[in-house]
Parts: sequence; C-alpha cells; structure tokens
Amino acid sequence: MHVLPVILVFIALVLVGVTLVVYQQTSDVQVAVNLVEHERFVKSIAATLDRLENKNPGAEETLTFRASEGVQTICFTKEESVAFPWLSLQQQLHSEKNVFFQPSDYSAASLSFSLDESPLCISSPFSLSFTRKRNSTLIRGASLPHTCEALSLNEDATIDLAFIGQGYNNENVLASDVHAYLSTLFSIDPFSSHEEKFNVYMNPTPFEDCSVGSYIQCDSTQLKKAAASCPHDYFFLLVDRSLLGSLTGTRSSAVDNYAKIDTSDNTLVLVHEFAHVFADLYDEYEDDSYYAAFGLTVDNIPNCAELPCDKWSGVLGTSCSKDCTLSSLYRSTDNSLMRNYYIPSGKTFGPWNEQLLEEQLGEHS
Amino acid sequence: MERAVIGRTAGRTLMRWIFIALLLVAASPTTISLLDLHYDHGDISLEDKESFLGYYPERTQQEGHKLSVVASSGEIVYTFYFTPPTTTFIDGNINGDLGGIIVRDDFNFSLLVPAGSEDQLILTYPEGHSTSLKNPQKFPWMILLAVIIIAAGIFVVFLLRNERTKRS
Repeated sequence: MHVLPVILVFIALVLVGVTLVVYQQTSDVQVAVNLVEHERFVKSIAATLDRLENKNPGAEETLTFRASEGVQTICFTKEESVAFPWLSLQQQLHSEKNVFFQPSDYSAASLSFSLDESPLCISSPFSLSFTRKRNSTLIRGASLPHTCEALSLNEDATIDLAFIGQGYNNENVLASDVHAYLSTLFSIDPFSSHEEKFNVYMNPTPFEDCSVGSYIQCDSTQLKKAAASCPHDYFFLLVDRSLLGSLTGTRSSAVDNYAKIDTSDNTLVLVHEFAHVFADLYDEYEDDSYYAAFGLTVDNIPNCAELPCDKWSGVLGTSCSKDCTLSSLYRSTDNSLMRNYYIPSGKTFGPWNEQLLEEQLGEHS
Repeated sequence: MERAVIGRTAGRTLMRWIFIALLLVAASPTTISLLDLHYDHGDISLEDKESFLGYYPERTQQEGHKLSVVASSGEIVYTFYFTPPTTTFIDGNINGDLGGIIVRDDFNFSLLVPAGSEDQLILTYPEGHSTSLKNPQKFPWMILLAVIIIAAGIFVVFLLRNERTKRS
C-alpha cells in the first residue's frame, strides 16, 4: 500500500480541522470585539457626564451613541425596578450598578446621573439628552427619527392595524395611499359600521426586504420586525406602484396576520386580503386543478358549504351557488368580494360572510 | 349661552387630547422577542430569538398550538394560541388570472411575544405534547477538530504499521 494517499488524506483532514478552528476563533474574536466596543460605549457616556459636571446648570447636550452590535437595550435606574424581568434580575445580581444592558452578556455599569423616571430604558440606536442640574446631570431619552405614526386613534378601538411601505420615497405618498385603502375598507360592511373599533398606524421607514415579481416575496422576519415598531394585530405591506413598473400582474397575498398588497390593483384587493387573514375566508371562485391538491375540506373553509348549504340556512339574502374554492362546494351569494371584486356585484361580502366577519370583530372586544 | 357652548366644546377637545395622551402612554413599546421558528412537517423548532423594544399582536385564538413564555422564576408571563402559517393566499390580479393557495410543510416563520432575556418558551402541540423551545446550541468545533485529528492519527499509524508489517 502506498503511503502518499494516506498522507494526502491526513493533510486534507488537518486542513478541514484548521478551517473549522479558524472559523470558530473568528467568532470568538467578534465576541471580543463586541465587548471592547461595549466598554468604549460605556466610557463615552461616562465621559459626557464628566464633561457636563464642569458646566453651568442648564447646559444641555443631545448625543446619539453607537453601541456594540449586540446591545439592544440600555436601562438607567435609580431604584429597584420591576419593569422587566431581565432588568429586575440584573439589579438583584449587581445591586451596586445603575446602568444595565440587554442582552445581559454585556456587563452592567455604575455612573453618576439623575433621572426623571426610573427605569429609563432605550433601544438601539441610543439617543440621549443630558441636562446639567445643580448637583447632577439629568439623563433623558432624546427623540429619535419616528418609527411609528398614529393615523387614526379611536377611544373604543380594540383592533390595531399597521401599514408598512416598500418603494415609497415620500412618507406623505404612503400616508395618502393608506388613507385611500382605509376609506375603501371602512365603506364596506361590516367594517363600515365598526370603524371605531380600529386604530391605524403607519411605519414611515421605507421597507426594502421584499422582491416583486409575479407575487411579492418578503423576508417574513424582517417584515415582522418592521411591523413591531407600531401597535398591530394585523398589518399590511404596500408596494408602491413605481416598483411594479410595467408589472401589472403582480399578485397580492395574505398569510399569518398580514397581507402584501400590489398598489396598482383595485383598492378592494386590501379588503379581500384582510378577510383572508382576519376571518380566514377563502376565495369563492373554483379552481379544482389547484386547490384539490391540498386536501382541503369544507370544515377548514367557513364561507363554503356542501349541499344543502346548512351553514347559512335562514340567513336572509343568501343562496347556494355552485363553486367555492372547490367545484364540490357552494358559496352563499352569486358573487362577492371573495369571488370577483372587479365587477359591480362583487363590491360587498354578502350576508353570510358579513356575519362571519362580525363574529370575528366580536372576538376583539 | 354662547359661553356655555364654547365651554362644552373646549371640554370635549380637552377630553379628546387626554384620551389620545392616555392611549399613547398605554401603547408604549415593551421588551418583546422576535422568535424565528422552523416548521417541518408538523414539528416546530426555534432557529433564533432576538429581543428589542416594540409591540406584539393581541391574540384571540382559543385553540391550536399553545406557546407559553415562562420567566426564570417559573411564572407564566404570557400564553397564547397560534396556527403555523402553512397556507398563503395568492390572489388573482387585474389581468384576470385566478388566485390560489400555497400550502407548505417546510418553512420558516416568526412570532412576536413579550419577553425578557431569561425566559423559557414552552410549546404545546394541539395533540397535547409539550416541548421547550431552545436556542440552537453552538456547534462544538473544538471537540470536532480533536476527534478528526485523533481519528486521522490512528488511521495513519494503523496504515504505517500495516505497511511495515508487509515490508518485513
């Protein structure tokens, strides 16, 4: 047997091993860099406090600090707090400290300052305002670029809707599109008589993580992160017409608690998509070749029924029309918003679907 | 009379502002976690967890998969039901194309939940069995390297001895 192949195998194995170790060591270096950056971050806050100590009362400075990549939240405290479990735990572990970080891998610090409210917790990027008082320096959170705008707040609201825009260069255009969709949504029963149940918010920061083709594909994690900037039970991503260009066939879609909307389509598309996520209504056209493959049953589809349409028997204005997602199922009206909203008879949900939506509205009370 | 009307209007305006202020205070962001989950033919695992200040949705669902956020003290901080988003509705368009659905059984999805860094996540499947969702552990690179080198060393020694035996 030749020794050469054995040596080559050995060298290959060693090379693989060395590569793995280098990779692991690089990760460790990144952790070390993060910790050094963290120390620098704490030192910059301490230096600002020191500098202001020598200034006259009333002196103010607003500074934005860049922390290590991993630091998500900083909390300044002056007494034990029960605001967050992680903070409370950190305070118990380090009772002599008054500045804490999340994640807790980043060590707490002790600085000299005063607060209006304790704890003062700020998320990254950290924008802080320092005001020199007679005996101490007051720290407050400074206003950041706004990440959520309230467009409509109602006293009796129980449902929060949020809008995110992709491809909008101007937040006024996004706001204008949102208002157009809202006026359509709140002109359709049953939403028209429940407008007071909704708060509406908009995240004006342009979103850029979706690709637009025959339909809109997004990084759902990034999308949910963007939605988390605003109170939301359901949210919508509006893709600006300019991004769609000559693409007039981009399909809107709905999944989970959100919908992605092609703004070049009829504004009723948002109402249709909302019905999918809000009340789990299915499409009322038939495409056996498509739907049959997924093993759907009538139990999964609240707005379709088998003969003799017992689900909505006794509901005024209903019928039993063939084809509803599957050719074996029946819908409650000849046409509706869940079937074809491009033609005049498809501008309403119909009595049975309205009842299903009403029930869902009642769930949010 | 006119003064009374002005007074009532001012009162209503003041009440409105107080309401909006209260609403904004009540709607302050809290520490939340964005859970990156993987769904594989019914099994759910945690891929990543990121915490930041923000908002999570109110959930009204009363059945399905149950997720509980449990504090380090053992107290259940938050419980809710959800359905993994296996179905995406892809709708028709102005060209007259019909819509359809996409049903997936292997995909990633995310959930927003209230959180602290020490929280534990307990997932209960609709069938009743529970599991703790844990962050994926770092791969033990050093152990792997040691095993590879030892194995390679043994292999080389074995071959060399074999070679020597043949020669002698």
